Order: sequence, then structure tokens, then C-alpha cells
Amino acid sequence: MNGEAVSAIEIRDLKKVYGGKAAVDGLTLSVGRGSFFGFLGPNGAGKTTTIRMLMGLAAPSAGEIHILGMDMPGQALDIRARIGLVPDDSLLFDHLTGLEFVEFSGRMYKLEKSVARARAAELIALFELDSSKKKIIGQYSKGMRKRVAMAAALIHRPDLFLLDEPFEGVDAVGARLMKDILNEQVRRGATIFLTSHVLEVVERLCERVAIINEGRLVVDAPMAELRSGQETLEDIFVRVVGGVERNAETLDWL
Amino acid sequence: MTLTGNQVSAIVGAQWRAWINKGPSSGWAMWLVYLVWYGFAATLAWLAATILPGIKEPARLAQTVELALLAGLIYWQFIPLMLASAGMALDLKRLLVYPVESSTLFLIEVALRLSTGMEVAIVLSGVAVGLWNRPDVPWWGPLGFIPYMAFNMFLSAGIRDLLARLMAKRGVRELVVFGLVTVSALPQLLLMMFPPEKWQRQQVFGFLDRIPTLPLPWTVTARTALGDGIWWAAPLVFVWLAAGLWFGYRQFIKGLSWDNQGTPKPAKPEPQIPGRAAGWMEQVYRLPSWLMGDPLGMLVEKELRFLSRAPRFRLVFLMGFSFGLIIWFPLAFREGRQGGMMAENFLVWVSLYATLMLGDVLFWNCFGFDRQAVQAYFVVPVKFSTVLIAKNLAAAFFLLLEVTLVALVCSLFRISVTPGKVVEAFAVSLLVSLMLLAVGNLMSVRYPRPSDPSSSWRNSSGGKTQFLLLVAYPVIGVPVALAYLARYAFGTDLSFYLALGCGYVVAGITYWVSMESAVEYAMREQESTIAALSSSEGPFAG
Repeated sequence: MNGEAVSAIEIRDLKKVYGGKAAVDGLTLSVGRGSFFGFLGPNGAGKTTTIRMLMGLAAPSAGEIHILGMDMPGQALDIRARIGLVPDDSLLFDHLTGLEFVEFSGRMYKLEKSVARARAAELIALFELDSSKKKIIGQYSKGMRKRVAMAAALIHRPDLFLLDEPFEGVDAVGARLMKDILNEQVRRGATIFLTSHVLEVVERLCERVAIINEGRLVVDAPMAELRSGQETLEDIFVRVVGGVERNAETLDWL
Repeated sequence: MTLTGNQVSAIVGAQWRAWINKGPSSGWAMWLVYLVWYGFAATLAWLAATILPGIKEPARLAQTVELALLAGLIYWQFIPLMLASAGMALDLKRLLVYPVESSTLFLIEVALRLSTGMEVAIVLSGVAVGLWNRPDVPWWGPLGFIPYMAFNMFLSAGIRDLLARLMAKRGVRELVVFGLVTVSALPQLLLMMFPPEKWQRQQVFGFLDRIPTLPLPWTVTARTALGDGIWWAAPLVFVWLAAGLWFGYRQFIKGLSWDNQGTPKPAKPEPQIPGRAAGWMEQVYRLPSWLMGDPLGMLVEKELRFLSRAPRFRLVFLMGFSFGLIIWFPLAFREGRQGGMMAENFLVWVSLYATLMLGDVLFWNCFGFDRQAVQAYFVVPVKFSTVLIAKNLAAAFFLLLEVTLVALVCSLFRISVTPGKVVEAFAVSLLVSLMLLAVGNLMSVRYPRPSDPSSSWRNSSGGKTQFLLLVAYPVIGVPVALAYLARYAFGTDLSFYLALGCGYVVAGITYWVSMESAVEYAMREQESTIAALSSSEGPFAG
């Protein structure tokens, strides 16, 4: 594979086993360059494990991963340098201010100190976090934390974004801003790999959607194709992962 | 600055900013503790610098330097393990997402090992100065301490990474602790076999003389430092350095995966057999709800379940009685001391030791472990005092369990355990724990700090907390000390228990007053408490 590969992400027969149980089981997926891709699944389906393997944070038990034409984990550092990650909450440093954290991220992505500092200030202003300049991230609301994580993911102008629930807790104005920025990134050729439980957002933004359940791929289709029927994305999701039927005799107190 | 250098300075700079932003909680008190501790190390260094030039016999000098280097290695490698503390380390979970060379991270990790052995570096500097003041030692000799220190840092990094991985595995963790206990017992057993009273200076050095000079890291470094056997010793110093680097780097690389970072694995579902009564553990968990009404019963039950499943708590609980027994037994019962005070009060002594060991996980920071539940404590319709009492009752339960285990082990090995001594151990431990709870409740709400229950290593407590503990321990021990003083003065158990009874009254009043104060403070400062417990550190983990 070379750097000009058509796919941003190419996964073949990917498997991750924890203690005899497969968290990801034979996943094969292709995400085109410059696309907005939705990666869905119920809780515990294997989404986060997949993202960890894409970042080279967890070693696959079997299978192949190629990102931006490079082999993971063989070229993990080169790949990480071109990825912008909006992770779950746990990767932020709570004792740093937003500006300090975004600058830190820039320098970790090998930007010159002065460049990282200037870009961090611009991003903090863009995400309207500059009014809380002196606040440390530990004092941020959930939405502010997501915004600062997004700012840190953008600072090195990555080619691929891995976004884990980026809109969680973000208010409507912030979410709109984030969506606009992400769409701009797609227009300039970047690829977005998005996981979210807010299916309306996925339906509106993504060109293609994959759904995994119990580690296996159960849907992989263009959004336009999924929309062509009578069902909404939510209907399809509930149908393929199996909804919970409420027994009328139990929980009658509810 | 190179790009890698930029990353290193970004990591160190971010940590520095995190410390600054953390605010005054780690201010003057921290510096005072450091001043006392490192002042002690500096005194040792000064002694070494003063004494070494005066040693006349070259063989004695070599042995002294070897012993100093060996002591440094033991301190650097084993003391952090004995305290279940690993000093500062990189928070790899947060840094691995960036494109940083693993060799860069390893170098920072190794540099951070200085945090567990700065005292050794200070003392060795004193040894180096002492040697430089001798005309028979070449100027370049003591420079051999530099690769020796680097070797220690590599080794320490490797051991830490290896143990961190082992400690993350249930079952293996307990085996590792057992191994550490066994290793820690060896010097004590040697002391029993060869009591220091019988040591004679000549015999000791004669014994050391008979030990063949193996090319161990401290012996070859000492030879190099003294300019003795330079042609074989100096290359071996670098061989050890390379071996340390290989071991440290290999272990570090093995840990560079989220698979090894305590990532939760899918839990195995517990087999449920319809119609069968819950197991005995389940019965123990449910006991508080049976004895007490809700919400107190439910809260105590939750604490019992939570603590008994927290790896950190299990480790400290295990170490509490095993280390206590093994460390103090030889000191109390070595030859000629069977009738000594420590032997007579062995059970009480070990119980107190276990109580103090449990302080970090039960008393001083009782909200640190279940920090995610703290918000719930403020929103559920339950008095905050009920929450604190529930935590205290659970702490008392585990403390009594610990003392019972100590008593059982002592009985099993027929160590002087009489019913009277068992009662005394429980009475003293409960009094101390009542005082600990009184002070602990206040500290838990005033200086809350997040702690990871799934990490077997201790999170470093703030300087102010450490300083307050230094002040608190002697004060907490006063009622018990007075009771023993009464027994010594009047020679009767009655006087002891009367004084102890008075101690209980004082402790009860202290507990009541501190509870009122803790509840009032917690309600007033709930926002800052929640914020403090929800924050995490910078690029370095404690």
C-alpha cells in the first residue's frame, strides 16, 4: 500500500479477544478518503476497542489495519501524526487550562512551540473557550471538555479524525460549530470516522454508515441507500441489533 | 531544539503547569516535608564525606563503599515496592495517542525514577566527595557512580513496569505480594540467626572478607571508584549499565499497550443457580442491611462490596497483616528478647501497625476511591453524616477483620497470644481507629484527592496531607500511650483499662466534634469537593 491509497481506513478480518471473548470479531471495513463515516453500535459492541486498535493503542489478536495507506501497528507513529482524536473524557489533563492543553497537543504533534501557541490561541477563541481562559479543564462542563478535545484534535491539521461521541454534552450552538468545522475538514479532503449514539446527527452528517453488534459487522451501506426505504436509521439500528421488548407483566409499577 | 526535544519539553512543561495550577494545596507543607526528609539525606551525605577520608585500611574502605552502594541499590529498588508506591511515572494511557517515539517516553520514564531515589543520589554525592578528599583515590574514580545511578534508574523503571503489569492481574498480584513478603523476611530471619548483640566488628568484616568478590554492580562500581582493578571493573560497570538498559527498555516496551493499562475486560458472568442461597460472601455483604436499617445498612453494604473488590484495598489489606507479622516478629523474638516489651505486646504492636497501614485506604481519603459516587452522596436524600458513618463502620469492620487475622495467625504459630492480649489488641486498635476516623473524616472532606481503586500502586498524597499526618500520628497515639504509662506506673491491668476508658471518652468526643465539623464543611464546600475528586493529574501519574 502507498500513501495515495483510495481508502483512508482499510480493515480486514480484524479480531480482538479478551479473556477468551471476542470484543471485535472478524471486522472487515473500508472507509473512503474524504468521506464522513458513521460507525455505530450498541454499548459494548466493540466500537471503542476498534478505535483503540486503529490508533495502535491495543494490538489486534488477528487481522490487518491499513490507515492512510500505512500499516498499523508497523507505522504507528506516522499514522498517529496524521490522526486527530477526540477520545472519551479520560485523555484530557484536568490540571491544565484549555489553552495549555491545546498547545501541549500541538507540540506533541511536533509543531514548533511558537506555531503551537498561536494556533492554540486561535482554536480556543474559535471554540469560544477564551472567556474561561484561567479555568482548568477539571472545572469545565462536559460540553466544554468536548470542545477543548476537538480543538486539540484540529491543531495539527490531520488527514483523519477519529471521533468518539464528540457531541456528547455539547449545546446546540457548540454542536453546530463543530459540525460546520468537520464539514469543512471533509471538503478539504480529510476523513471523519465518527461514533455516536445520536442517530439523527449521524443520519444528517454521514455519507456511509456501519453498524457493529457483538463485535461483528451487521450493516455497511451508504446513507442514501439506507434512507431509500421507509425506515429511519433508528429503526434500522434497533432492528439489526435487536431491541428490548418490555414484558407487560413485569415492571408494572413503572 | 529538535522535534523530540520539543516533545520532551512539552511533557515536562505541561506537568509543571499542572502542578502550578493545582494551587496552594501542595505549598509550604510539601516543602517542609521535603526539607526534613532531604535534609536527613544531606546529613548522611555530609557524614560520608567526613568519615571516608579518615578510613586507613584500603580493604575497609572498599567494603564501606560497597556496602553504601548496595544499600543505595536496595533503597532504590525495594523500598518503593515495600510501600506499594512507585513514585512518579508517565501516564502512558494519555500520552500513547500522540506520535512520540517510545525511546523518548522511556528516557522521561527513567528520569522520573529519580523521584524514588533522590536520597540515594544525595548520599552517593557525599560518598564521592569523601573519596575525592582522599589522596589515594584517582579523581575520575567516583565518576563511576554516574553509570551506577543510571543502572539503578533503568533497573527501577524495568521493575516498576514489570510489577505494574503483574499487579494488574488478579491472582498474580497476590502471588507477587507473597513473594515480596518472603523477600522482605530474609533480612529479619538473618537477624534472628545472627543477633546484632553478638556481632563483633572484626567478625563482621571477617565474614565480609570471606564472601568471594563477585562482579556484582556495587562491587565493580566500588572498585572503579577506588581506582582498584580498573581494567576489569570499569568495563563491567558498563556491562551492568547495558544490562539494566536492556531490561528496563524491554519491560517498558511491553507495557506500551492499552491492553496492559488496566483496560477493563469483559467480566465473566457469575453463575446463577436458581433456588440456591447466596454464597457466604454475599451473606457477609448483606449482613449490615440485616443488622441496620436503610439507608445506613445499604451504604455500609455498598462500602463492603466496593472495598473488597478494589485491587488497591485488597493489596494493602494483605500487606497490613503479612508485613506486620514478618517485619516485627524477628525484632520482637530474637534471641534474648523473649521477655521484652515488644514480645509481650506483639499482637498489639502488629495490630497497630496494620491499622496504620490501612490508614491510606480507609481513613485519610475515604472519598478518593469512590470519587464517582461522591456526587450521588450530595444529591440522594440521605444525611451526609450517615454517609460518613457508613464509611467509618465499613472501615471499622475491615480493621477488626485485620486484627482478627493477625490474632489467628499468631495463635496458629503459637506466638504469645492469651485471651487478655487479644482483648487488649482489639481495645487498643479500636481506640486508635476511632481517633484515626475522627481526624480522617476531617481530612477526607478538606483535602480530597482522586485515587484509583484499580491501581495497586499508591497515589502520592499531597505535601500538606503528609505534613498533617506527621503531626496527627503522635497526637492520635497519646491516649494509648497514657494507658500504657498508667500500667507501667501502677503495675495493674485495671489502671490500663481505666486509662484506656478515659481515652475512649476523649476519642468519642473528638469523633463527634470532627463529624459535625466535617459534615458542615462538606455541605458548604460540596462543589469544590466534587471538582477536586473529578480531576486527574498531568502527563505524570502518581
